Amino acid sequence: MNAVEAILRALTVILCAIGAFYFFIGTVGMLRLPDFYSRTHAATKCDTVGAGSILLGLMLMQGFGAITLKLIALTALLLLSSPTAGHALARAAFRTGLKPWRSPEHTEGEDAT
Amino acid sequence: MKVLRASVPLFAFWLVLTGSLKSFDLVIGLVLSALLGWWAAVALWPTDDDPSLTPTRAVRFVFYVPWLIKEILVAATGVAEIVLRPRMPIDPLVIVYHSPVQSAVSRVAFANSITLTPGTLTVDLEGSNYTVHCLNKEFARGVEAGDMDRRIHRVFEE
Repeated sequence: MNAVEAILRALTVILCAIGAFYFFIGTVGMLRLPDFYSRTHAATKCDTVGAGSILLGLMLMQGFGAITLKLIALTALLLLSSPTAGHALARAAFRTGLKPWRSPEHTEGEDAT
Repeated sequence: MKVLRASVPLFAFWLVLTGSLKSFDLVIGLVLSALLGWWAAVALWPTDDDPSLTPTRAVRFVFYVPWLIKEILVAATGVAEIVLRPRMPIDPLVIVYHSPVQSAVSRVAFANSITLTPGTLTVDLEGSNYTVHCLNKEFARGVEAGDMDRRIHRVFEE
């Protein structure tokens, strides 16, 4: 293994670790946040960053080639489908009349900005 | 012409997925993408609209993506900080944002960009009014600043 390979391998490890971190945040947010809408934030967005970072790391490990092109296609699909699915969920909830959670300061006096 | 516009990307996608240049694979890919492209042109796009992704727009879009990625990373870090704080300082609010972007493509791109950016989630879209759920006031201000739809406008509508 020469120096360039070693550096690429290290970058892959770092990027995959960052990706795992964001997946972790997404899960923690999913458990901690108070209502459906804010949980949708955690579930759809942190996963986008997490998966994107991991895919980028895998691209660096593969170098340029057919597999990297596949990974790029996968990333594009992810960037398109993830917000669309999140939006579909939230819209369905909104149209059914689910009220978003407000913090307690707002629920008592409504005109407190 | 429409058949060609559908078949060429399909064949490129075939090449990416198979990753092989053997003549057998190439022939199968050519036949399949020609058939699928013909079917798509006849059945999926019956109207004769202008292509929404012209070469100029494609180039502009490529320049838009890095900016979007930067925004996503900044906002994701913000959300991570909020989620990890023991007190979790969130104050969700719903805003209705009116955006001047007109065409179908740019409205989809704008709504998806908002949702991609952590802390903001497009809940509903009627005409050019976007109902956006924000985790706190900071994220709401980010949408209301209008930076993102100005960029979308520059990419898809000039």
